[in-house]
Amino acid sequence: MMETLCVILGGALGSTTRFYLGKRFASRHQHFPVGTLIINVSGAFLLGFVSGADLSQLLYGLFAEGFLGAYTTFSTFMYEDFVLLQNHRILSAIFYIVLTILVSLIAFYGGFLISSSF
Amino acid sequence: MRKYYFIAAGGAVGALLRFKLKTAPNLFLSSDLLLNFSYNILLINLFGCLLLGILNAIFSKTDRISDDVKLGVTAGFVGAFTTFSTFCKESMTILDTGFISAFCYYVGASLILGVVAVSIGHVIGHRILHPIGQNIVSRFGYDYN
Repeated sequence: MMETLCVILGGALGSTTRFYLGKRFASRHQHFPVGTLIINVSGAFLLGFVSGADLSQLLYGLFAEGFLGAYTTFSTFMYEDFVLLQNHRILSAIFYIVLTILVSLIAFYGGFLISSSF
Repeated sequence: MRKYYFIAAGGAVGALLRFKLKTAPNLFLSSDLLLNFSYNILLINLFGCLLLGILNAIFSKTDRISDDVKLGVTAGFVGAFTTFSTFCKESMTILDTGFISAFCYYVGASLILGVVAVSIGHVIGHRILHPIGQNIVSRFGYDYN
């Protein structure tokens, strides 16, 4: 029950943080979805960090399942790629996917190494 | 400011639903297809992509729904329901088991099927707005009513 409440609270905070940051980045970069890229990479890094740390179930529910789960997003990432494809920007679409996944996996692993070394 | 309340509410529901479905028994029966592994997050993400494709196609063409509600559903609910960080963690978990091919299949399938799901959703959304037959009539300017 407490864990469920933590996920709900984390989800509300994570989604509003994503929206706020996404809007700030979008106003500066209009040709490439830099906002979602930065959000997803930073979220992957933090989840790696949280996964390497020895958190209690409640804190993991709040930060990982709730906040980071809602902060990062898969649907917007894919939708932005679809829009790039619709605008015939095939190379940008491929570059966006490859860059996001490569940097995020490295960031996740880096975060995991840092926190598990403590 | 009002839109942030809608996004927070949608995000809370989306995150809760994802958490419940993730920890539910495997949604996908053949979890032994590649590894003994739960594909719930993959299915959650793909369903969210389909839903976002449908909703964005409809929302961009209608002003009968307020912008706050639109944001609450898309940026809030669908955005929090799908997740990228857990997807990364699960990919790394597969890679950690040493099955490089399974890792490539999982990542490749998630990304390709994700774009396909958005595209299918986009088409479905347009069909909901313009049912087949209706636009043929309007193209020729006939009014059968």
